Amino acid sequence: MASPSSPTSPASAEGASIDASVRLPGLYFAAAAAVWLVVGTALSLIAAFKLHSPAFLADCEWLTYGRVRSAESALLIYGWGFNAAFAMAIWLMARLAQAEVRRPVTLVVAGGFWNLGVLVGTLGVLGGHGTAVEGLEFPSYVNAILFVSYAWIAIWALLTFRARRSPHVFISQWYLLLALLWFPWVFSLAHLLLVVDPVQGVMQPLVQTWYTHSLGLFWFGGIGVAALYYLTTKLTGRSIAHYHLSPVGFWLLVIFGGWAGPARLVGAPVPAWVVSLSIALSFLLLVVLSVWACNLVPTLSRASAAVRQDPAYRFIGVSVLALLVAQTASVLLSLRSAAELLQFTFVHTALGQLTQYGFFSMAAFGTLYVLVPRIAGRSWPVPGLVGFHFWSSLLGCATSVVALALAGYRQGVGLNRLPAGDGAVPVPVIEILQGLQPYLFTHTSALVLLAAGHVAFLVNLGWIASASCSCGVPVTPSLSNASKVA
Amino acid sequence: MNRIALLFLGLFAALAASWTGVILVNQGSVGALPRVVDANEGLAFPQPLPGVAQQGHLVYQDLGCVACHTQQVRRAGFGIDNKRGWGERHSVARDYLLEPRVLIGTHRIGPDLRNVGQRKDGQEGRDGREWHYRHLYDPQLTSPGSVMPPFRFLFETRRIVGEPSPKAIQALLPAWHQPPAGHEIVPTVRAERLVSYLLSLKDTYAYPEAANVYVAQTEGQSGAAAEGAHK
Ligand code: HEC
Repeated sequence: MASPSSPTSPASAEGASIDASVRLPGLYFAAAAAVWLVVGTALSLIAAFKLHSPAFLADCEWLTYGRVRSAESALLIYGWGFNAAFAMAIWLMARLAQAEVRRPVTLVVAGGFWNLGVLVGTLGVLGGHGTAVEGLEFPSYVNAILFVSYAWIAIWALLTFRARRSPHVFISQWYLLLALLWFPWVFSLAHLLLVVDPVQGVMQPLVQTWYTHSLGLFWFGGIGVAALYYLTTKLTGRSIAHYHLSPVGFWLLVIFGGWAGPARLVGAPVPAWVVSLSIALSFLLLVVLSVWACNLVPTLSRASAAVRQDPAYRFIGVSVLALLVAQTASVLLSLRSAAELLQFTFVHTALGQLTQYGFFSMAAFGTLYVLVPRIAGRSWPVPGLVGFHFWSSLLGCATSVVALALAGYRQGVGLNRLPAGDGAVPVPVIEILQGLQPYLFTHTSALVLLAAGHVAFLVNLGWIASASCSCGVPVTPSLSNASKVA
Repeated sequence: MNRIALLFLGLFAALAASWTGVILVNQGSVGALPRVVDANEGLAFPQPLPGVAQQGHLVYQDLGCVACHTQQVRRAGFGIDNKRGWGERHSVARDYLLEPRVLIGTHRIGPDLRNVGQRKDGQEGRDGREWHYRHLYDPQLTSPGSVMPPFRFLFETRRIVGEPSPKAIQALLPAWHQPPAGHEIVPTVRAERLVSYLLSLKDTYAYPEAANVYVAQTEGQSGAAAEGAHK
């Protein structure tokens, strides 16, 4: 695609009109995402703080540990994650289809309902109406509104796909379609089987892991990987290495990914065969990973020195790395010997952080740093904040993942191994937790760093969005390095 | 266009396959597991919880205790749950049949609670209710150094009007938690329900499927399980 340095070329004129059509919904979803991200990070901080100072805010029922954890997790998924994913999906879909989004205002209306649902749901959880089901924490009454507004937004994205002018369907679009079509199914089935008319006994954890795993792999994974493929080519200006392999990865993921959820239940009172099958099939996901690695890593590593300075490029690079590490770790952790030691520990919290933050959030930041200036028609008001955001995210995320993983390992050894010596008795739970305090404290400090970065992101974004909304005429963006993006 | 149709079809088929394999097949087996009727006792197991305990389950759910506590005992040899005294036997699918919301949990910041009712039975001379009240009011009283948060909002400090309440708990608390003169501290209805629920947590019935993997902590005890003893 042509670069904006040749503004007279027809492709770029088309690109500009496509970007303009995404302006309203894109800015709306990006801003909503950033707001929820800051609120969610604040909740994470409160929860983390309570683990070393349990008396902190203890008399406020709304902020008791269990509720804050639920609210935080739901908010980061449905508030930050989904809004960011909507912005990414709509823009990527329009770009790849080379088609404008029609009547973009309707998307903002649907988004308004979505975010109303998120707000009510979060307050509901803090007020004690939560379901306590991981991944579906919101009270049942908000799921309907989420579903309808989701359907609306997804249909809009699919209509844009249908109106495509480009004859070729890129691999990014496959992943987008996967995410858009898979989510409503798993969401509505999980809602029906867990909340509306709950299935009996241990079927509940089975359905729950099936849902959360699908949500991570197909929704966040689908949108995230689509963005990684797209931005990798756009930022480096090269085509994907070994592109012919990409359909293999895609189909293996589609066919086997849905089975890998129950691997999380090793040792739980569920039928052993589902768990074993699930572990076996999750090894096939390593093939999918290799395909992603073959496609993305060589392409990214061929970027020019100038491109490497681009914050978007850096975010994307970190995201690819985190994706590969996290998926490999999650397969290895489901092995029985690993699960015996680490099943109920902070190692899984670390893994969640690496997947949700290291992979998805980094991909989202990378995309938004390219997307927002394009659709707003102006460059970032404070470029220094972009760099600050990158480094705080990278350091914060890495520190927190390492601290949690080390904490989890020690916790696992304490919980599941007898100390050496004859007639040794298990280490008391309180003692184990006390040994983890330095790590938990490090994790909390890392969250402070992340929070600072998120505030920087929000400030920059709020600034650009309000400037773009108050004076309607977009000016040509002068994004230094991201200018490779047409 | 054809390739797109194929894509949609493929996606749908894959989704349906994983749904069938993971959910539907199991729905026909564990999802339809019946209770066990014990002819000797003339009862079906698991037995439903008493009404208060069921209401307490909702309090447990809404306060998010599952964020720190699991309710699944792993089998002997897979971790050391049995050596920690977290259960006489490991948990089996049938234990959860009657629970409206199954909270087996994913984090063990605190101990497993599947059999906590049995563990605390006899603590401090009574059925453990007092222990739980003290623990919920301030975990540091029973478990110094604990990171479990206090749940003082489950208790009410109120002026004594007429006779003091027989449920008042301040006699169990140390000097620094004493209410002002003429006041008493009583558990709210929610605290009573929650504690009734905690006291009800014990999986003691030995189902046939639990018997063959039952590993007693000390030799000589294992016979009890095989006979389907209900303690
Ligand atoms: C921040 C994590 C956390 C939360 C939230 C939490 N607990 Fe705990 N819990 C612990 C820890 C750590 C221990 C072990 C030390 C102790 O006895 O306090 C514990 C111990 C217990 C025990 C004693 C178990 C035994 O074997 O001695 C009970 C009972 C208990 N918790 C019930 C609850 C209930 C009910 C809730 C919800 C209202 C809850 N906990 C919420 C961390 C937590």
